Amino acid sequence: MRQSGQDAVHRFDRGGDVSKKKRILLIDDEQPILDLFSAALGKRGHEFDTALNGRLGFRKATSEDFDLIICDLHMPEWNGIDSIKGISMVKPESRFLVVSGYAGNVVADEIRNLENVIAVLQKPVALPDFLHIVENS
Amino acid sequence: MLNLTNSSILIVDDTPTNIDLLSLVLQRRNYKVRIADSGQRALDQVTLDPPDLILLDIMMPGLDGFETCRRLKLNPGHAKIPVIFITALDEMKDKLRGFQVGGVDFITKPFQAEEVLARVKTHLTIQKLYTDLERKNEKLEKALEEVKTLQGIVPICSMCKSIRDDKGYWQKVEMYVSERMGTKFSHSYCPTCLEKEMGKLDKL
Repeated sequence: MRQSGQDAVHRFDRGGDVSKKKRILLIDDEQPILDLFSAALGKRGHEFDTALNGRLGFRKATSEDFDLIICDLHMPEWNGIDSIKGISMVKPESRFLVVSGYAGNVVADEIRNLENVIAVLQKPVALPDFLHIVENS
Repeated sequence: MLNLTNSSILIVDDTPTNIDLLSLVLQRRNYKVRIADSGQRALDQVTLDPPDLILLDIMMPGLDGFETCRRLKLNPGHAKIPVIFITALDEMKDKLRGFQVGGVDFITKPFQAEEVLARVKTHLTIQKLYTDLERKNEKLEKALEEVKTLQGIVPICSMCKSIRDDKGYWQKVEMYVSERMGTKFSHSYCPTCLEKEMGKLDKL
């Protein structure tokens, strides 16, 4: 588990509301997305880990405990839907925030209806909205 | 190199000796040989299971080779099967008639095995190349149709870059392209935009 402020790419001072500190897994095939979300979460004092594809995300999500899993939809190997369904089978208590460039399409609608998906956000996301949802999840 | 083994060849001749000889020559080169002893039986066989090439005798009782070939070519599904006439006739007018009814070549009796094999191979090769070319053309035309949907003047919002489709709906540019080209996008940040977004973190 990488800690806030220990990210190799972006370093940040502590910040945010420690009482809302969460353990979060980020699954996205785009490194810049992971870098930005990691930096935002780290700045607010959250713990996070990252996975560059759905399969790796599944492994991490099922071997460790996370308060929230932030997941992209279109990814190589396992896509977001496969990942969310797979993780939910092993750990039904998992909660997901879907962040996708295709948040408005039919596939996203299918995901939106899943009970453990708290929200579906359209990329590019406004960071305050993103953090608001993460911290109130 | 084209693989012609297992190509099926229909021999049409009313003389059993000719059929036996041609069958032997062709089977030695791994061609699949079928036979018909009349023009009508040949047409029936082609309808049931079209061969890759036909060796067709001209002088036969009932339907002769010319008439058999003419009727065969009337069916668009069979018109492209190459027909090589087998003939003892060596007159120019007979050869011209053979070409007029759709034949591609002649083998003159008494035939030589090497000549038969060479002509069969040549016309199977031409036919296979022609079929491959047709298939590629179809694919190309289909691809061209899809590309055409992205031609012309496309209205785009100068602010958010959404595109207005032909039904008047505004779509995100990536959705518009995905629907027409099958392209999938992975939404990321370029270095410039990532730097801008990172800059916003200070205000959080």
